[in-house]
Amino acid sequence: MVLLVASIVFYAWGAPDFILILLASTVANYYIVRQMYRTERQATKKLWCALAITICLGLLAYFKYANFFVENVNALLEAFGLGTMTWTKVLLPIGISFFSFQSVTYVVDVYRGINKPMERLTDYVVYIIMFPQLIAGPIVRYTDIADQITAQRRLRWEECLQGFYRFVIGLGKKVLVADVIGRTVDVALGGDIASMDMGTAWITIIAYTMQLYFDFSGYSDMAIGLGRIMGFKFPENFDNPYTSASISEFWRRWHITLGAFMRNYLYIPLGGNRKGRGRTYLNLWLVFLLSGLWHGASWNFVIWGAYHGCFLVVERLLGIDKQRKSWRILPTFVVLLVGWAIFRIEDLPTCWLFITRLFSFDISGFALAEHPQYYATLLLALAFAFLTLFPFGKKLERWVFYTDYGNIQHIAVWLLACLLFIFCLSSLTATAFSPFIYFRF
Amino acid sequence: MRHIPKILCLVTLTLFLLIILQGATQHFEFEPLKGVYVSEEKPRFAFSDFVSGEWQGRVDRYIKDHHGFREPAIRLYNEYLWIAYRLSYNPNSIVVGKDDYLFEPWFVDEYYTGCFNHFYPDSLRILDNEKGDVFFQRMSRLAKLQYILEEQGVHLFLALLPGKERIYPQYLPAPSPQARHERMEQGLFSAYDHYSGWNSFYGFRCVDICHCFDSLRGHTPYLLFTQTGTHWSNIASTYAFDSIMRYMQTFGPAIRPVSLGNPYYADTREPDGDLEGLLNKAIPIPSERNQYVDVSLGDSIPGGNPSLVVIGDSFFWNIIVNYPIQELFSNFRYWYYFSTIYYDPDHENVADIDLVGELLSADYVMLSYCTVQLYNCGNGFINRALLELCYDPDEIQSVRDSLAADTTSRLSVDQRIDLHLEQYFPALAEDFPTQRSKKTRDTSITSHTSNTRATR
Repeated sequence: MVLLVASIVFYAWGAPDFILILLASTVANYYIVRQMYRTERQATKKLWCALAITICLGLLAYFKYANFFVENVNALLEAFGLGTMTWTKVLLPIGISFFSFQSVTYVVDVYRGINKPMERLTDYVVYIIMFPQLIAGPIVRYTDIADQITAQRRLRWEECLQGFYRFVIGLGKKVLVADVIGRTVDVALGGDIASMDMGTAWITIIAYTMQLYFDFSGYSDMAIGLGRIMGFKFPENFDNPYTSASISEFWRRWHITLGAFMRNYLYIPLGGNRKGRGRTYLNLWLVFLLSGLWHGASWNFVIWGAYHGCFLVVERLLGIDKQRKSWRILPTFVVLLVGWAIFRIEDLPTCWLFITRLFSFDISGFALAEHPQYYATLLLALAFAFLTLFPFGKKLERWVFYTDYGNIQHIAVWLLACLLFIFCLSSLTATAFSPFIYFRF
Repeated sequence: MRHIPKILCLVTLTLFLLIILQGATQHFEFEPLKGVYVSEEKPRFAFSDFVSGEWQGRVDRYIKDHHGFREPAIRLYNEYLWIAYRLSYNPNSIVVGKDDYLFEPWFVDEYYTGCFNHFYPDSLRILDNEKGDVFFQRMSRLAKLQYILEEQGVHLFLALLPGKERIYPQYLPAPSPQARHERMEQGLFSAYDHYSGWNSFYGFRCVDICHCFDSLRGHTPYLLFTQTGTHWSNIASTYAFDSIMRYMQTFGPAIRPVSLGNPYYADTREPDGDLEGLLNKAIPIPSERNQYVDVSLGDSIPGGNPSLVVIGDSFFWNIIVNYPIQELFSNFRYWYYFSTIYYDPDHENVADIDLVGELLSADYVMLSYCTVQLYNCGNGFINRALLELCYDPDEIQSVRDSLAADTTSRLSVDQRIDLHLEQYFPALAEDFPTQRSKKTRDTSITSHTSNTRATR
């Protein structure tokens, strides 16, 4: 109950005008799914399931895509000289993309008979709006957490402490790395891109790549850490994605829970790889196109999704995804960098201009001496992002995240975590607040 | 020892509680941060603000601005920036040069690019090739004002004071100091370049302390500017004013003699470290020891002390601190940026004074500007003095009214008058304008006017 109230207060704090919509849709879904579970007839069951999914995705479609749809229809109408529709813009409730998908996993997992529906309404509401991961994931499948929600939780000090460490690591990633890099990236991309030299363009997009990773994985770490403090084990969302040797591998390491959702609730229902090669490629491409659209109602996200989809299809065609070869890490990273340029720059002509600057071979005006904090932080970010390519990095990661600490280790790590926390607090106090990038999705 | 995780958890929880409690009670007191900062006031709850999210935003900002450890937290972060990168947390206000010398950024800009344009409001921004014209116009007006005042026995002169960038260019941050010469080769001149290079041509009096100090650069054991302050050191300002007083007596009434003692170090006196203070660091920057010179007054002069009006920037404060100005000059007035008045018991602002009356009762009128403030030499004094000396108040008001009635211009009336003074007031277009104000100098207050006077 405490968690439920805290979650409602948390959401109301950020989006008070949407809390009722969130609660109403959650309650409606709870009862529809119960009704679906009780129904014996398969056809009726299907209808209940469709209704529940329509509510989840209907809200998402309305709040996230209505503006985009109307804008494009108006552009078409205008092109044919037919005037435009009048439309009051809809505001996007924060976290809607995440809690809509979690609701879908609940409906589908119960429909498929993987889990029973929740006995208590409060348990279900907690599952949907649990505050640590409500806004930006990880997307927790119902089947992964159903038992944890209903089970009697006991305060476990060891878990609390591990959760605190994880939370502080996430906070550090966000405040000390992503925000520092982001400030210079924003200035660079907000400036005159037409006259940007090639070196600055590459460094800017590499920096944005790191900003996005440390921002989003920082949030996931904080969510996982908070969850752990409260006695939940959320799934991991990142696994050193930039060490991937192919785009297929990247999607197994980046936003893992979204990838899993897309595979289980879209790719497989579309037929997966069971309907011939041509259909498999189409399914793959469609999944990534929609995955792009999920990120935002804008053409650049659609193109970004299609771009990734194309590379996945090509990799599947060439069999690249079957065998990992280290030399492919660099070309994969370059493909990702260009992709992130599409992801970051919404205005398509500007985006294209930026991509041309990446390959302009104009090396005039590159000034490395400026912004020492930016470059130092960027180097640090790159070192951490690629650390696990080396044996000692893997060892370090294993030790930090997967080792049961002894007392001395606990004291040492706790001291480090406290210092890191104080430093984060200091940075938060001294610098301007910058929201998480994935909040907008 | 099985309880270690439990103990660590409880200690962590206690630390969080401590932060919250300190925020609520402010039990520990920390030294306030330096500089100007507008902090969020405690927000009052209103349901409409809550629904719009505005109240939450204000609460967030309030917590950030008032959490119990704000001051040490900011100092810690600034110290990190300093130690790791030699960065100022606010590079728009403070720039870190070589060997930890601190500068205000406009001094750096002035040296490298002569970009006095930086200070102009957008509406007055002028093109590179027009900058020179503006300065020539101003220098011409200054010469005219000097001529009119000289006719009344009032000695106007300009003192060009050095900024830190002129004396210690070797400590400026990159690019290298040679860039300034490159700029001048390209024909880009700063305000200082204009005033120092053209004063003889226009014929206004000018004492160039920058030039005096140039010869000292690299040869003097004295610290002319402190490492962590923006103003010149006590010893530099003391020697500079000694030179200025000698210069004044070449064309104006005698000044009571002073003698300067030997330089000495004094740790007890606080040197100018205003820029370091604004860095709000946790650990002070170890800086050089400062030298001082004591000033002793000589015998009084017959006929009384001359009077002095100074119009200038903050560099003159160091002179006031080191010299017994009020014992050297009667009726000393300091019109700070030609706005606030100091050392005048009757007036607080120049808007309230009878400018012509005040000027005609002075023996010396000194415009005292450092290199960076020269772009706006006089801060409006020259125009106002010329107008009030040469036009009746009714005539001035009539022009002002007609300008105010024209709403097509995006410039204010004062800005338009500044740019086109001679067009609106044709008498000022003459090389030697005539004073038309009926006020004249009261000779009873100038018993010492028998001294030498320079003429144009």
